Amino acid sequence: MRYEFLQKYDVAEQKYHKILEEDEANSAVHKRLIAIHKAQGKIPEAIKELNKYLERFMSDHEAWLELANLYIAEMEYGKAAFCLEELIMANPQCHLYHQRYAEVRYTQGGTENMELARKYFAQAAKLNPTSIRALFGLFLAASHLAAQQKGGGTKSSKTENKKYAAWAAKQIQERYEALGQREDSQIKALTATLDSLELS
Amino acid sequence: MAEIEISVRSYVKLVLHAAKYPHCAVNGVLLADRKRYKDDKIVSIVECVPLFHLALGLAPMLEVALSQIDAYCEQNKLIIAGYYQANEHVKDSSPNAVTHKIMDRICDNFSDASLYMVDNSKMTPDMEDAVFRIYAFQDGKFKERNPDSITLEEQCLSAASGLLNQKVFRNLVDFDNHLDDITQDWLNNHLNEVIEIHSW
Repeated sequence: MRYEFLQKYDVAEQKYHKILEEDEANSAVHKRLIAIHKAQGKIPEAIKELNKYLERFMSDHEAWLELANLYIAEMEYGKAAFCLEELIMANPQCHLYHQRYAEVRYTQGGTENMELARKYFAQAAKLNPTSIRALFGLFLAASHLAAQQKGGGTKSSKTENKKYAAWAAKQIQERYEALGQREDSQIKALTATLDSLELS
Repeated sequence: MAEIEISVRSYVKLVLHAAKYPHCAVNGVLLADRKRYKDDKIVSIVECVPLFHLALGLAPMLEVALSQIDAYCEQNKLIIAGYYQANEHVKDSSPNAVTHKIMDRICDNFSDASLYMVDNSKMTPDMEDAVFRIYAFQDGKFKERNPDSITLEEQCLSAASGLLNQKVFRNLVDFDNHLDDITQDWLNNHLNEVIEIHSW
């Protein structure tokens, strides 16, 4: 790691490969090699190596999250979503993964992705009722769907989405108002936001 | 292309944000005085709102942040006139896909908006030179602006240097911090006085 710090990456890599010759299963060293790629700005190589690493060490949550972040940085949202799905399967009670997954689906866009985003934001809000991100996400996703849909569809209809959005907006406002000594300008900014984002 | 003036407050908040998260990419927006632009055609940057340090490329929280900031601007006769980004990698100071995406949004609202790309190698406590390069955004391309059209207010560099040394960035709040805990003020009103004192 000292060589990494000195940016003598070739020497560092040699040292790490030597350690791996003695112990193939040293996951920390594998990850340092990937980190070297990242430090040199070689993101596609880092992604490739990280994928290979995860084929062997499938239960390394930190690695799945890192891969998801790398994909998000490269705007490969579909692949990022896959990584987050693995994390959700392993940790279904963690609201953070649900939230991040919903954000990725929302960014991808399209009705199906928006529906998924809404569902996962709702689940994140259920797992952690204090999560403002989940509430905002739910509000945005439901508003988008309500704006896109015509009334009386087979899936959640326009009215249902409006109800979800309204509920989320109310929750958010209550949380902000409960702060009491908040500056008026911030509450006004929030109200204006909720009104302007309500697309219907 | 209008001239740009940058206040101590905005410069310092930008620098503190980048310093607070040296291991992450960070971004934020810069707000200008609407009247000054209308009357004198000068983009006078008076405020800086740090946005995110986690997953810059995800849409929902960005929409929430920009709507709240827009509403705040409406109330205070300001306009979102700039966007800054500091990349994760110390040697990488070029705009990426996320930069394009966000600048598109901002320029839709204000065509004279500029991009402030932080050069990480200039982030030193000595602060001899402005930490960013400023680019205009036209026809989907970034073009570096003439440095003569840009004025930093007199005490910018010394105030930033002083506050970096005092590690004031620990108290800076960005939008990510606010979403995690809504009692934290994304306008950083608590820092304004501290910055004022250092700009004498």
